[in-house]
Amino acid sequence: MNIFRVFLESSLAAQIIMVVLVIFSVWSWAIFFKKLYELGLTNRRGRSFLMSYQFHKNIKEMENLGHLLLDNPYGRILKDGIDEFKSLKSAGNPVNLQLAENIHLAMERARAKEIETLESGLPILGTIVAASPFLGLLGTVWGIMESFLQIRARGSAHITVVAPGISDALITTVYGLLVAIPALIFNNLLRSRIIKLDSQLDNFISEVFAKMRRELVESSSNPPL
Amino acid sequence: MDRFTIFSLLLHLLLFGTIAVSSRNTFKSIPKMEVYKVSLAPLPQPKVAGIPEPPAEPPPVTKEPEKKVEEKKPPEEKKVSVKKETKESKETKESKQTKETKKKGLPDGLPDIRPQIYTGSGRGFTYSYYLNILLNKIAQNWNNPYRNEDVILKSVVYFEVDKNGVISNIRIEEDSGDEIYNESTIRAVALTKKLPPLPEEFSDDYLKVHLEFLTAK
Repeated sequence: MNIFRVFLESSLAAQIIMVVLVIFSVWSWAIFFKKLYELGLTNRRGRSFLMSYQFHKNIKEMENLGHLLLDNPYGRILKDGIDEFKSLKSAGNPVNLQLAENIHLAMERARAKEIETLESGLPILGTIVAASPFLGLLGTVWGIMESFLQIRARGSAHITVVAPGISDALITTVYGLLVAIPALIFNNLLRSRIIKLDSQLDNFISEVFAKMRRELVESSSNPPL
Repeated sequence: MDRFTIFSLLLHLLLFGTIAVSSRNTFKSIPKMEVYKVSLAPLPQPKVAGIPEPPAEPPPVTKEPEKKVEEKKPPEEKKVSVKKETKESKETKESKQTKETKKKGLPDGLPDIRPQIYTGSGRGFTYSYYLNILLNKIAQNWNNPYRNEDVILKSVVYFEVDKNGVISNIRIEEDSGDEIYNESTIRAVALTKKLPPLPEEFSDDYLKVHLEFLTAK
């Protein structure tokens, strides 16, 4: 089968649908590569952050992580938590422990922001997954409709009358599926990786929050002189 | 466009290129397959002065002055009002001119059609009984999609008949401008597949046929 020959011999409607589907395909692969790169970078930086992080026992030391606080989601979440922690401490003595929840909320906000960034583009991928087979189906229905119109116009159901419409019909479905199947795989792959990262961030937040609350409690029970 | 889009675009181009290259071979081999394109070319008029030029392609045998063979028109053609004619040479300006003059000279729907066939070598193919069989067989397989319509279409199909009568190298030589019509003519030749072996006296390896299919009301 020569897909280009089929393309050139198709009707205008089928050609438009095929062009749109090719654009979808290029778009979905571009999103996939971009997200794959971003997630890989995030994971690499996250790992190196966690390596350094485990050697810092208290919050004050953690402030000295430098660029590690900025170039990965863990660091940014931690930084937001530290900022909130410091503002709580500087509010005066004794620290109101009920406000400790604010630290947690600040880190949750940061996490939501990180996930939102990572998920950008995935709705487009989801749309391509859903829309491509339908576009292909539209071409199919269109081609079959044309075939029947040809039969009516020619007054004959000879294969030479019907075949062009049918080939249009089938090729657009093929294109639609060729676009949708990889996009579906990419979508699921990326989503599962983001969900995994999300739960890791969740664990990290609860760990950091526990540490901060302990320090708050310690500092309020032993107010500095 | 970021680098990922460009990368994706390049990947697609590579993919399409690979498919194009790989499917080119299969596409080329299609004419050798049994039924795909066959050309039946009925010409409207008996030729008077048109002398086909020697084919541009290197002919298998040395060229000689061609002789014309006239045949009776197969009965089916009359019904369909399609004239068939085979010519050996490729069409050149000269031959086109001669055709035009012939057309002018002929009234519409001329009943009498005398197809002519020239061998690939330029030698005259003088076995009219064989040509009758050829035309009849192909006419039987031709399902003209515009049989009863008021259209004038002409396509020329080129094919070769080897010593065993097997038809090969079928292709459209002159496009009628209508895909369905082209397909029908090619199909007519392709469906014929095999003819009786060429006359033993015929010395060439194969017979080149330019068959013109004409639909006119």
